[in-house]
This record gives sequence, C-alpha cells and structure tokens, in this order.
Amino acid sequence: MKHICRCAGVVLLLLAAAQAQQGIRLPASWEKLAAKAAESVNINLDANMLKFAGSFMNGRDADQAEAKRLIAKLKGIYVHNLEFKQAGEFGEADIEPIRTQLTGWSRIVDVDSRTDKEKEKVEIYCKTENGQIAGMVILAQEPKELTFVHIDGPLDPADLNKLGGNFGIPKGIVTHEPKPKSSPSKSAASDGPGEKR
Amino acid sequence: MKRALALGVILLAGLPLRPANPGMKTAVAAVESHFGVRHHGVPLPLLWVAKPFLIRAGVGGLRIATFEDFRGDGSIAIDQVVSKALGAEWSLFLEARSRHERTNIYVRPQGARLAMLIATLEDNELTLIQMNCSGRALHHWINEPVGSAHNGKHKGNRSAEPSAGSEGNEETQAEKREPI
Repeated sequence: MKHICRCAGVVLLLLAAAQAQQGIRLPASWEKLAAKAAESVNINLDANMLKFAGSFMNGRDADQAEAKRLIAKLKGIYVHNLEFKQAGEFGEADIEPIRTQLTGWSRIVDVDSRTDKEKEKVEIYCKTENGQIAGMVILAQEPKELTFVHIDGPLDPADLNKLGGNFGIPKGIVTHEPKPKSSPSKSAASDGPGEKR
Repeated sequence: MKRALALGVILLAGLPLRPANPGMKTAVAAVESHFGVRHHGVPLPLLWVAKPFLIRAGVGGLRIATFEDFRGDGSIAIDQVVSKALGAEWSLFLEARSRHERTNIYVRPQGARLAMLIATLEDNELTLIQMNCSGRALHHWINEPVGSAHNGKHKGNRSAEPSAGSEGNEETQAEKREPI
C-alpha cells in the first residue's frame, strides 16, 4: 500500500511538473473549438526563449527596456488564439470549461464592452502565492476571435499593458477601470481584486 | 571483465546515433525515411533574387526543402516525425492550424542568433525551411508571432520583407542554398 502511495505521489509530482512547464492545460473543449475554428495559433515562449528575446531588446529604448525588465522575471508566456469565420460559432458553453480550469484564481478584471462598433469581453485572472502574483490569465472574446494567454511568473497587473501588443498578448488591455465613454457600454467594470472563483 | 567490456561496446554500437547538430538535414531525412518521399530544393536563382531582402531582414543560412504530392499518414504524424528528428534542443515556438494548412515553427538559440525551422503542410505540399535570425529579425518574430507566422507561412520568403527589421549588412554570409 505504501509502495502504491509513493508511486502515485511520484506520478502526481511528474504531472504537476509537466503542467508547470507547459502552462495551464487547456480543457478538451478548447481542442473541439480549435477544430471548428478557421485558424488556430499556439505560441509557446518558455523561460529560455524569453531570456533570449530579452537579450536582443534595446535597453536604450524606454519601452523595450521596460518590457525587458518585465519578462526577465517570467517563466513563460503561452498564447492560444482561435479565429472563426463567422460570429456565434462559440458560446458561453464553450468558454465555461476554460473558466472552470481557473479554480483558485482571482478574477481581477471583467470588461464586457458592447458598443455599436465592437463587442469584446476581456477577463483577467491572477494567481497569488505567498501574497505575490505568480501568474496571470487573459481570456479575451470577440465575436469571431477567442484568445487565451497564460503569463507564468510574477507580473504586476498594472504592467500588463506594457507587454500588450508584444509576445502575442492582445493590445490595449486595461487593468484599471476605464474612464466613462460617451458611447454606451453594457458593462465595463472590474470585479475588484480578491474575487475568488 | 572482458566480457562486460565487449557487451558494453556492442550495446553502444547498437544505440541509434543522434547527429551532433540536429536540424534541417535530420528533419528532411526523417520525413523521407518515414513517408517514403523525396525532397526538392529551391532553384538557386530564386534565392539569389531574394538575397538582398533576406540580408536586410537579418535572415541568413536559408535552406528550403519541398515535398510535392506529399501524402502523409495524417497531419499529426508529420509534427511528430519532425519534432522527434529535431530532438529536445529545439522547442516548439508556434503552431498554426487552418483548414488547409498547418505550420509549426521550431526554434533553437544558436549563439547570438536564433535558428528557426518552419514546417508547413499546405494541402499536399510539405515545405521545410530553416533559417537563422538576427536579433532584430527575432525581435519582430517574437513581438508579433501571429502576424509573422501569417506572413512567413508561404515559403518563409515573406519574412524577407525589409519591414521585418532592417539589419544593414550585418549578415554578410546570408542565405546560400546548401545541399541537404
């Protein structure tokens, strides 16, 4: 019995290590969605690649120097992007298993923008360890596009927009409450830190 | 003791030898042997035409192998064959899938440059491209991987666009078609 428990422990450790290396494991529903999508892109930037990329960033350029400083602490950036031909090819039922995967993460941002020009929903989740942010997940939905980004490592949410538009991370992610606009937006609010799912 | 030594030598001799520097050659050889197909190179004049653009884009050491009328035994198998041939030194940087096309990009840091191997399966044509990227070209690829993949998928030649990061004449020994 002891032997079985030990073996099971080793297997669990190995599985945990494998998962830690590859980022969050996406649910099977993602693969089903990927099969329906017109295009699916996965990007893996592990710690080695980030370190290598950082070595080429221009330290004299303020933006690049800042990005270099931020990625130096990260263990990896993993981006999964799906593009669909038509709107409505995925729904909440497809998204929910992804959210379920994030049990134990805090949703710090939930922006649901439904203006005449754009429909977009962005959720940002944080994982904390010993009071420090240890990882972040961005789930961005547009009518024909779904993006899941896992940033593994410490990153202040306020610094997220400094990485946006780079490394496959969507541009224009705002982690603070946006200023009210004249155009109608159904909801644009942060759930505030600490909302446990 | 002698018997043990002899056994050791026999076992070592039986081990499959992994090339010291797995890359394009090993990937092409693996595809050829696994699927029973032969590759074709790209005519040299075409590469000469592209050379100035490639130099400016910070891309060098370009090698291209195409497999026409490629009929694999399922597109997943090709990913596995190429990944296995490249070994653990190469990591999968990008996977892009669409209805008629699959692209995998594998990377390996090589000193101050990044070796990149792009495997694209489009309908019945498999193309393998290996190139070395300079810092600036790499910066472009890493910062906009999705866009770069869209542009680079078709034979990888679009990555030669000057906008991919002009590098001046840094890469003097740019692409030459090396026999695979």
